[in-house]
Amino acid sequence: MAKLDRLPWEGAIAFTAFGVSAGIRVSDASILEPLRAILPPDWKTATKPTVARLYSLIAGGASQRPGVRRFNILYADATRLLRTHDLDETLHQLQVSLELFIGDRAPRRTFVHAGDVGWKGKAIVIPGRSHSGKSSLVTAFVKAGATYYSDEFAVLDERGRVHPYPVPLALRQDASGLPRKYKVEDLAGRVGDRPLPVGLVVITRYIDGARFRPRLASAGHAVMAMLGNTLPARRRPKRVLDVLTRAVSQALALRGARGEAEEAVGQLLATAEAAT
Amino acid sequence: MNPIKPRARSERLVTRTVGDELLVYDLDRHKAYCLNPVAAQVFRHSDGQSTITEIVARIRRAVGMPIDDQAIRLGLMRLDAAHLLVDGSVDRTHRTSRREVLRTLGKTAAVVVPVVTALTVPTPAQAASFFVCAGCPTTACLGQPCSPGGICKQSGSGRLFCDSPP
Repeated sequence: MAKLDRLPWEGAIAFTAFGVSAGIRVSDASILEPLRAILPPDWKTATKPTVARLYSLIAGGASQRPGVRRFNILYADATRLLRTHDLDETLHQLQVSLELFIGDRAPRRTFVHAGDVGWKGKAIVIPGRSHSGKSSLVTAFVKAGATYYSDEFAVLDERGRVHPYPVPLALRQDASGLPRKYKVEDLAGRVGDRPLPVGLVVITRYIDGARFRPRLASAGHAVMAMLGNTLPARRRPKRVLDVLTRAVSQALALRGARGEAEEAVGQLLATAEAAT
Repeated sequence: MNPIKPRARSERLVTRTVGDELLVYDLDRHKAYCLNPVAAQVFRHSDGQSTITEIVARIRRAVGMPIDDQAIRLGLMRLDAAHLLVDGSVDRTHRTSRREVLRTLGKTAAVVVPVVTALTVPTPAQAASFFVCAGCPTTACLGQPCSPGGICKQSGSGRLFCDSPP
């Protein structure tokens, strides 16, 4: 860390989000602007002089020596996370690492990896890993008139209510595996602005050609599905179980493989409406 | 010979009731279990004082359904496999299968068969992404295409990638 500290840093951001502080220092001040775009929603400038984690980004690009390109190198505290020529990849990795760190450490929020939308005063939560089809389902919900909360995390408070985490919708469309991002406004959607109780938990994954025939799942299975996608599950199991059991206490849970998102969304909205 | 008196673990477990199911978190193994109503009853009545016959009688009263000791033995077997019973408190030589129980109980079996659903609780990195490569030095390959059983390697350009098994 001392070696890193000795490097000439041109700029830095120190911020807090969800009660967790982090800092990012860069060797090239021009990176600060794209950096701000990847910070978590509702971040605020930190007021304390120390942060819980310090990221260091050494910018790559052309070197003074002809024919030589320098790497972008990313550190989290003293651990090297990435070394690549691709700045977009570096920023994406930094965003992933920041989300993991904040989601795991947030003192008053429980981060569940899930897509979530609001519908008639209740939240529809779709827990699942990446590549399970959450984002396409959330997109279809938004196009059908649901309020966008997140396609990345269901952020739960102590009462089990879902808070918005409105990052741009990330849809994987290119061969690189890196997602292409869309603002929800581009889909004529609206972003939620208040916490909602969970009304429906959808345990599903995309299978090409599958017909969506959901079955009722028990509340216990809904908690298990969410627990399997909860960031601080190992760190704070008691609190996480309390929050998740509260979250599903008034919710309906459905499970089943789905095909096209639009077909599933029609059924799910009808079910959610009938349940409210 | 002393009759077997199963005893449920109480240390290093977190339990929460959800409806008539029971959620159990094993702090030692970082595994979570969802016990259906019958399995939850078996767990609660395994106090180390009661024999299987006594447990069966109590659960019958609690559930209000005909449950024979085959189903309870299956429940104990499943709880034991999940490390939710104190070691040595069940007879591991007398094993029963779900099929046997279904045959014995007939149509009511679907309701009274004890079911224990298990989940390995993920680390934050696992929870937030798809797969984490075995041997990944950091979590740096997150967000890149990974596959189960893959090994995280660094290419000549310094980029981490998931080397999938054939």
